[in-house]
Amino acid sequence: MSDPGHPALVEHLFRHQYGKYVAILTRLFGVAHLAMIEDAVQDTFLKASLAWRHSLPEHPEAWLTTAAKRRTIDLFRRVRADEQRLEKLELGDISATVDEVFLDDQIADAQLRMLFTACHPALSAPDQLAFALRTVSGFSQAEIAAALLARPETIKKRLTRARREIIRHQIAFVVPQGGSLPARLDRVLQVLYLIFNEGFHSTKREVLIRRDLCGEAMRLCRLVLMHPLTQKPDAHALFALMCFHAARLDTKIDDADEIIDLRHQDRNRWHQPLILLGHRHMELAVDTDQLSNYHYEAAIAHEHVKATAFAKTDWDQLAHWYGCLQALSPTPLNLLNLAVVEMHAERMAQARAHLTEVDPAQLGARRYLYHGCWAEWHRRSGDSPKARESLTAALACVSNDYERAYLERKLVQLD
Amino acid sequence: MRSKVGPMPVRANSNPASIRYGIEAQQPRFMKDFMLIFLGQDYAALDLSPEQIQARMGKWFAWAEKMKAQGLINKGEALHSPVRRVSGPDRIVTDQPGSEIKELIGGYYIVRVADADAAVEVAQDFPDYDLGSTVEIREVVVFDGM
Repeated sequence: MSDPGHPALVEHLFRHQYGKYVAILTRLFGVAHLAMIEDAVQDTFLKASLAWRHSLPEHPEAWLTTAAKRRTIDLFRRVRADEQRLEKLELGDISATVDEVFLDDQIADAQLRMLFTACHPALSAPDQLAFALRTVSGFSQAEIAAALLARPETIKKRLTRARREIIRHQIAFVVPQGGSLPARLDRVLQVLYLIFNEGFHSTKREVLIRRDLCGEAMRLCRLVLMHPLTQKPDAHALFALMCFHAARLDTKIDDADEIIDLRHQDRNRWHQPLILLGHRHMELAVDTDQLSNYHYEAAIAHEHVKATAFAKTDWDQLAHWYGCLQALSPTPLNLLNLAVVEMHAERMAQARAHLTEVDPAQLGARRYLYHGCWAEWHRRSGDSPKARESLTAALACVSNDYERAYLERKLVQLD
Repeated sequence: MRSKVGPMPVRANSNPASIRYGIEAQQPRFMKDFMLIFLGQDYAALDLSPEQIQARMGKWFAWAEKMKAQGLINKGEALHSPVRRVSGPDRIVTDQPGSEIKELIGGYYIVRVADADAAVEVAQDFPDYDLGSTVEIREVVVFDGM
């Protein structure tokens, strides 16, 4: 019977073990068997959930691993009939092989392979994202849909297409070496960056999903940083960026689930250990001649977490970093940010110069930000009628309810 | 199993039968066994993520712990989902995967409580109502005519 003092399960145990087992089994059986593998792993957890209803085993993780190994050997028997490669293996060899791939370093290696497979250029960006969240992070279709603000059927299609393309292109289950590594690593980092941003910048998702997405992106980034071939400065910079942002995650949302902007966040509640971790990775990140977007974005995020109060923000330094970022990868959004920073630094002429450079059409759905920035510029210049005009233009093209409420408050404040 | 039933009010010698029936007599006569039968879709047929499976299991576990602490559980089991049915005068045997059945019996608990209302109270903590599942509460017949 159960021990009443038994500790509860480790948080996210099933999710993390799912990603591990799927990766290990894919390494053994090949990506062609992914559907079978996912079903088998899922079934292992369902069995555990029945067997553990009444009392938890003493070592839940070991229990799961034993069940997964047993299941793997069953699958070998099943697959062997139609695959020559596996025919060579005798049952004795199989248990030894299975034991070997379930070792910790092998697990990390297999998960990294899965991540790199997900980011193969044969898959479109949205498919890569959905596929990584499914196979590496163990999200269900419904959870991915909620995380990416897409319909579950859309996600189902993306996953099906990703699996099909992986088989069709016979994508090898490896971390590519040599010439193709840099481009693929770039893509992996981009996907992790996207997953993190989906969690960090969203205004529409549940708090739990936001936190999970950020946590997953960081866990996977750590995985990339563990491998000698992929622990590159860019990856360190991305991880530092995630640390600086994540340190603020809990202060970004109030009890009514509304976003609190940087100015109003409780800086005493920013998570210092994460900021320190970010520093350590930043030191490793600068060991390069070529700084990336992640370097500059991390530097920007760091300027914010460094300031003990909003009024103490070093706007000059921020303007410098935004300038670097804009020089490296010019985007209208960077320009807008640059303009805002210049306004805070009370350099209205520079702010105006940046704003006039922006083509609002390029901003798409975020066009309201352009008008919002102009409104702020006019307000600071003492031109209320023009500020009102810009705010009205912003309101005409905003779709997000939270942002709309924010703009409306601004409009009221003008009167 | 019965010896597992925890502390509960016992009316000492209130019932002369308690002297005659040995072990049975240790049980308070005014308590009854109710079977809580769980009906619903097979978990495997739902798009549950590992995270959700873990969360659900945690709730089942907490429920069991609570019932144990109150000394209510007499017995309980979960059932594997494949179904083999034998029916009709010809004893026709059919196999059916559980995932195809809308109201699959997933398991049961037998709890020892005062009455059906108390059993309903126990059933409040059943974790799967949000999946459209149901708890059917049935009093267990006591065979008493031997």
